[in-house]
Amino acid sequence: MRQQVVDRYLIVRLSGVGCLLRLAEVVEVCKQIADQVDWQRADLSVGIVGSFNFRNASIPVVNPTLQLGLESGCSREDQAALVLSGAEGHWALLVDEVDGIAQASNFVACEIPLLLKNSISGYYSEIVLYRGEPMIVLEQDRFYGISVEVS
Amino acid sequence: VSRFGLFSLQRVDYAVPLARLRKVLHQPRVHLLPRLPRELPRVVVADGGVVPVVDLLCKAETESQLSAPEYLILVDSECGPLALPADTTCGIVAEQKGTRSVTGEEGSPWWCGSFHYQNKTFQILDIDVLAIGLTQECPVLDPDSEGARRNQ
Repeated sequence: MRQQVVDRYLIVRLSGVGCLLRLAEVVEVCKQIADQVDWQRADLSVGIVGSFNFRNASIPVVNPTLQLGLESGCSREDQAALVLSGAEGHWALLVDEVDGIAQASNFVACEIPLLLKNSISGYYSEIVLYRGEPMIVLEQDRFYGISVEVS
Repeated sequence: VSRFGLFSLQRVDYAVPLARLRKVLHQPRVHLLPRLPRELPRVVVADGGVVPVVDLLCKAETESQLSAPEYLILVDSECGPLALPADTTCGIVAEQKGTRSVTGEEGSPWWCGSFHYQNKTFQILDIDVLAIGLTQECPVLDPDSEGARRNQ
């Protein structure tokens, strides 16, 4: 059973861009969370946009579009939060949409073009193809506990 | 016999040596990825890989020119394949059917001459200079940029 989870990815979208998270890293997918987030408790310098009440504990909410230089494609009310298990405890990642789950075998690893390596190297290191669409693999440690360069 | 693939973009006509031309895609689906450089604002999937799309003039006038190009001309460069957007394609023509001038118009370091054919002047693209320009910190793509002037 454990093996099946490790081999699966959650597909989410940020500004229409397909992104993958290893399912084993996802604790829970929470939808319609706008009312449960204290947006005043933000620290944009590290990408934290608020604090989310999850299982009677406040956990930081990170908006990855700040780090990735994207503009969120939907309103806060329509966003979902992925609760992830990190080295410092639980935290939440805001996404525009949750598309579903797919087996790792459905993704084709893709070489990153030489001309793109410099500009994307600080943000992600894997591009895969899924049904002919390029998607990036989100790596937890690039989004939480780091300084964010907001563009 | 040397041949050129001819195309136009935003009222500028271009010629690519046929040896560098890999394929032409009609109404391709292009994709946004995070943190792409300004000169390579989209990618296209071709031959099982991701190919950067070059904003040739760094002056796309509308979002649709980036997100829905009519054609993409896939070419091989020293830095891997590149996709050049085009509004129209004008076919493949043998060099002997036109006149080739060695010097291109000023202000475009990636032009290595011009090809005159049927009352049109096609700027011959030096794909490797273009690709190398894209690797530089100060890209040469915009003919009006300081980088472009320095590279002339």
